[in-house]
Amino acid sequence: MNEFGQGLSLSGIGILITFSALGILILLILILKALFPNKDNDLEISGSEKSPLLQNDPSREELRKKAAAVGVTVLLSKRSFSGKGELGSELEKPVNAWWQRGLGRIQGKE
Amino acid sequence: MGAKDKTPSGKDQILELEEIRRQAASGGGDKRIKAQHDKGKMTARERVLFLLDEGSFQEIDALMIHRHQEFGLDEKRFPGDSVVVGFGKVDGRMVAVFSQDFTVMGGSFSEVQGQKVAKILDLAMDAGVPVVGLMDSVGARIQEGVFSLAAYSELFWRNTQASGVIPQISVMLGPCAGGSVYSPGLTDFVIMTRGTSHMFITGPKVIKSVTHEEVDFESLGGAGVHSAKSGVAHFAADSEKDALNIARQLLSYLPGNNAEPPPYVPPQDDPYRQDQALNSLVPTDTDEAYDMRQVIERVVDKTSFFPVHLDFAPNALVGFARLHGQAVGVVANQPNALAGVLDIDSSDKIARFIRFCDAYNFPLITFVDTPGFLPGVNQEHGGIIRHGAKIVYAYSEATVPKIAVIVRKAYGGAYIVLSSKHIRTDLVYAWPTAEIAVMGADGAVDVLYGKEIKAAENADQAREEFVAAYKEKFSKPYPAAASGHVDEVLIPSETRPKLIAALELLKNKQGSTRPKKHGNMPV
Repeated sequence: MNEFGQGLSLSGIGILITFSALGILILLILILKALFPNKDNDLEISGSEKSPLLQNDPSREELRKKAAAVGVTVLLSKRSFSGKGELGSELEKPVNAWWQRGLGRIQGKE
Repeated sequence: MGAKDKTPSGKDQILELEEIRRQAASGGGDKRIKAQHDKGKMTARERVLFLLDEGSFQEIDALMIHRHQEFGLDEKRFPGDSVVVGFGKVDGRMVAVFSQDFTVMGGSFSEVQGQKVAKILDLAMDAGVPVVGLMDSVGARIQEGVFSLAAYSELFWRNTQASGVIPQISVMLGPCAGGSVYSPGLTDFVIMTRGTSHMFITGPKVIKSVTHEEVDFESLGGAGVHSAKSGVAHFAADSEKDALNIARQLLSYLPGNNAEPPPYVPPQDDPYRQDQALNSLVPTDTDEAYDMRQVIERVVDKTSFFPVHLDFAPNALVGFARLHGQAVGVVANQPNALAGVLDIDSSDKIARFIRFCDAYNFPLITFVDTPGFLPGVNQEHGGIIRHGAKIVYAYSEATVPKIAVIVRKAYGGAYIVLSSKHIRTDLVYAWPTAEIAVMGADGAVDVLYGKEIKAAENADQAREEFVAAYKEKFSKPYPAAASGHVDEVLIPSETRPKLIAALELLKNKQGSTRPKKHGNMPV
């Protein structure tokens, strides 16, 4: 086999491997779809350009309420004044030069 | 020169001084002191000693006497004349004090009294300490003529000079009539005692001769009428001791002068405290009343709310409070009285309090729930425009931290005045019950849909539908929050920690004003 023929056969083997892999992946997706059906609709809705707030589907109302409740809980847990952050510590310090300067300006001393 | 020829020993001089001091301390003499006690009143010195911390009083000018001869005055010279003047401490903080001595010629305002009071006011201004005047006087000393009037002028001028520089408190413990009422009228706070103190420009006799109106002292110028009707008095006390205790309590909130922040008190309350009762305190029916004072007291440090002008214009609440120990000025509408509407008196009450807070560096916390300004011919003819403008002016002028909490109704001009970002409120919070609109739903629907309602087959039903739609749009704070006119919508119980955090942010706020001699506030 000359060099040209050798290159051609190697290219053929590469193409064969690539398409075989693709075929296997397609097969895998089909198997997975067969195992987990009816998920496509939800993906399509969530991909919609409409804001979830504008959706009026009554079947989603309950889900939205639950999501809102979870959201509020998460929000409250994040910002609840649970003793962290040393709330009020700034008030325990004396006023600083920034305050004095502002007062001086109002009183016409600057 | 021998020892015998020397001047008297130091011991003799001290004995002489002690005798002079004893004479000065006896005021108008034992007989008059007894008469004062018989009336249930303390003497000038007893009042000062009750007001100040024990052992802290330092008297000055105890030996001044007048120089007048006319009308037998040459035989009526008392060391110290008709006023006790000095300085001392209240809760460990320095204050200047003068106390009119009724046992010396009825506490009449003489040239010497004027000089002594002027001196202590000058000292107080230079030292930057508050001044408390304990007033019990029949008025100007007639025998001294123009010298007495000149003395009053000096006092009024100094009251004005001290205004906005050092806090001034007048405690009314006896009569105060004629021109002399202008001194307490010029001070920041007036405390009157029920039954014993009276204030008026002209007394019942003069009024009867001029206008033929019959009135007694108490109905004309007693503590009740001035604290509830005229607004001249900020506090009405049941007794002298009660009045002096109110002065002490008031002083605990006040800074010494306009260059100091209000005194910080180590907090006794949890900054994170969230009172769950707040979440159900505001009625869902927007026409239903509730007590705003409860809202305030549940938000601020426990037992720290100290209302001012409580009986005057009860549709508004103003007072001092503390948030994590930081003294603040609180302004609020009171839905329990006239639905919290703003009228002439409440405008005056709020504007004056705001100006005090701004002058003495109190952050302002405003709780808003008002349907707006009170409609009516009396209000319009009484100058509600001029009086209402005072609130606008005072809030706009104030450079201290300004924080608003819209609790429920914030309609029209009242929203603009009390809680608008554009009047430079630093932070605007709203409760979920907040309604921010140009006017209430009923009025708005009549304006917006009058024709449609008229044309509808069932007008009442159409109206109800329009009202419901309007309420849906404006009876929630979210549209205002969506446009940034409200900084945050709070669960009511979060208000306390939120306000404390806001005060931390604004603690060192730098205000700014245009250079000017002074503004022209609508008075």
